Amino acid sequence: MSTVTDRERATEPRTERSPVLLAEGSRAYRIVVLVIIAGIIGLALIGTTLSVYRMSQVTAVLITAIAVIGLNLATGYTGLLSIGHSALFGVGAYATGILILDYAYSPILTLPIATALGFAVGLIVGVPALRIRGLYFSLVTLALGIAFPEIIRRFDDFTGGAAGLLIRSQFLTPPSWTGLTRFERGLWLYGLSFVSFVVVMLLVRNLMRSRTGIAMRGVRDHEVAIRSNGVDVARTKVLTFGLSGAITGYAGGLFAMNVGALSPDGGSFTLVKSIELITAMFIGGAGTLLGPLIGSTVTVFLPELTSTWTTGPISGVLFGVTLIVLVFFMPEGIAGRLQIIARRFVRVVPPDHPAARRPTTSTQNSGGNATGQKSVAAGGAEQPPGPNSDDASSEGSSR
Amino acid sequence: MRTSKYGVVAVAITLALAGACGTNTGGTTSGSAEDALSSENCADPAAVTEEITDELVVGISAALSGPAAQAIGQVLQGAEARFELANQNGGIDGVEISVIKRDDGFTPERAKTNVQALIDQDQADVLSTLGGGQVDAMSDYQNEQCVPLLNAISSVPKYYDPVQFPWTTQDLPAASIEEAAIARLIEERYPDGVEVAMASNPNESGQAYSEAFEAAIEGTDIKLVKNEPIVDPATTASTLEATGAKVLNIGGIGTDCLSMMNAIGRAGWKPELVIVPSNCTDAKLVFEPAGEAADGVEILRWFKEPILEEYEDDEAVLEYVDAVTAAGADPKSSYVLSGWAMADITVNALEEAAASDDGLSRIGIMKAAQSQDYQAPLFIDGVSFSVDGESDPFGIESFRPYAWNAETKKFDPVGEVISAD
Repeated sequence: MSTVTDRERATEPRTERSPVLLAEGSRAYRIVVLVIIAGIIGLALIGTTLSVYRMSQVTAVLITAIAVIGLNLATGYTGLLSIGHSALFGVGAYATGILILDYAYSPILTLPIATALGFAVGLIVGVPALRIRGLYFSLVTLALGIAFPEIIRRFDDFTGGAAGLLIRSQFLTPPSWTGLTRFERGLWLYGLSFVSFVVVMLLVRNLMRSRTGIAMRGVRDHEVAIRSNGVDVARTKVLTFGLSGAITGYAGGLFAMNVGALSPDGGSFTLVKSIELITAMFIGGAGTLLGPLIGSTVTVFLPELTSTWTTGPISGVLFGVTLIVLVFFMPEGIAGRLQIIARRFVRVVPPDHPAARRPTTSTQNSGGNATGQKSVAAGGAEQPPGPNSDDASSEGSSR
Repeated sequence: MRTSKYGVVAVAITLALAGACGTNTGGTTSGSAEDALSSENCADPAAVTEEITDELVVGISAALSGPAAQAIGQVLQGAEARFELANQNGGIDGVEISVIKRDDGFTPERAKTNVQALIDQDQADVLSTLGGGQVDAMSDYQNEQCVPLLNAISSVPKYYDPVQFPWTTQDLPAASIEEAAIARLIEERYPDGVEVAMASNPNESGQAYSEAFEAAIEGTDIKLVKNEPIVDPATTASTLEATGAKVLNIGGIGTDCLSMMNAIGRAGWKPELVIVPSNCTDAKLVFEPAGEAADGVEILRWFKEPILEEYEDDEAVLEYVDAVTAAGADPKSSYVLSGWAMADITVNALEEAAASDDGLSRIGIMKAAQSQDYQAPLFIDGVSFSVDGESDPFGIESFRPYAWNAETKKFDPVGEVISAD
């Protein structure tokens, strides 16, 4: 019986199933994109058939997911752990509430202002990141999170103070061009949240593929190295927190339109909310595109599920245990784990990927290569793969 | 990145333009409570007048999980025991009551989705909840759908307005009513006037107590020398002690009362009169843990309770004790009693609705709930739950003062019934 050395074993062609390389811009890629778009539209349409209650839950998931995308930008992609995003969420919510009630704004018109305010506050909060980092920076954001409800109470002329703000349904009537009535507000908010979520997700996806996105990841992974490459780290950090604040502020504005009741005491803008957002981000997968949606779905639906298993304080314990189990078995988050699994079957590569450019030839592994990969190039035909490069669509979830 | 920047700007402009197409048609309701209580403004007008004949579903949004679940669970035990007693007595004109609970974890967001589930999925005929934030999150939808939210265990001032919120009622006494009664009590004790210090929680309830007391002493010889928020009880106690006030009025909730009593005890301050609001009524959780510091502290009450010696053998108290004990609840818990009272007032409204021209319909129930004069068996003689539309939206307006005896661990009456009128 012959022995096989490690070297020999490494050079042996793999016999397991090889991943398909999908080149961006190829016909196959475009088909996949079309299928995804059709899927999104289909999901949106299915959502409209849900009961008011379920639709409201889905709306809550989408709004939370947008807020988590904002947090993910700062924490997941850039490594700036924020415990104060509840305040940025609150800034947007109160901006919407005050503008509707005191200045008679149409609700949707308040959203750009909530976004701008979130951006401005985010920039201010991001400034300390120039001098301090790590847990010390997190403490600054913690202070913001603690201070926000007190500020709301203090400026009661604007914010309603401890009594809060109640935006009644007659102020939240859908715009006339939608053709929806006051009683169909749930459908309007669902549609608005869905479109908002998709748009925000696409913007963040594009951002993360840009130079700024690469710089953000660099700041997270190796600040010294990225600085030595000429990246303005200070600008990147502050800008990231500004953008993060803008997205979370936008989600806050949507929240105000959805719930209609804003109070510094209800847990909506306290550290409890920050913890909820952080939990959703890590459960879904920090630094992943779909993580915020998956994490928000878990944090909205899991408590309901555990409360059906048992009532009383035990259901809270069950919720906690379930979260621990999820984190234990999927430390990279649900989206991160799904991504790892998906990469065993298919990988998206840029159009200039060597595998996508080479002419089709068969290799020793019946359609695969030495690394066991297949590729689908511009024409959709299988290509002989080249060197296994990094996936351009990688979300960096495998940290 | 440039593309992303433009993308953000484009989205903002699109949203702004879309917003310009919308109109803010908001406004406040005017007219009488009777006008406001009309099926015309409801999402489904026909359902509002339809008589309930098979089963009456009471939907409750409450914290079944989380830190508040233990106390709120006891409230629900009391409420369910009272509904069960009504069923044992033949239901509401033959219609049985069933209770559906949904967990809100004491967060308004979940209360918001719960109210939709209770109305649309569970087909609740009547709703209830606990906490001001919960009512805030639920009120708009249930008013829009015209489903009565009866006797919420809260005391948010705006929901004592049947013109603006015709389908919402609360069963706790309003802060304005309770503080008016406290002002009367102080006037009785100090006819020549007195200096009062106040410690109030910076939350909504505390602010309501604070503002109500200031309004109640206007034109009297009572002088509020200092009103200090309860942020750090020790600091609050020492600040207020320095004023030399003879009376301390604590406008807090539950644990605030305990921490303030402990703080003044540690500071060695002994005001002649210390008053806490009725929500601090629980002997086991608030008064007993404070030990000597709680001795002589006064509270306004309106229930005959098993822990009050004079009512130990009262017929209504015995019936209550039997019913809640059978349900596995602690009859001496003020939370259980609070839930029982909420359900008791609700059952009375349902019975009055069943006997009215509108019958046991949503509109019939709401009309009955807005026009009750109910001397509940468990209420102290001289106290009743009396409401009459917008002219008198406050249910409980009379109280009897009791003082805590730290030695016997019981409340002793220290005066007759005081009316806030």
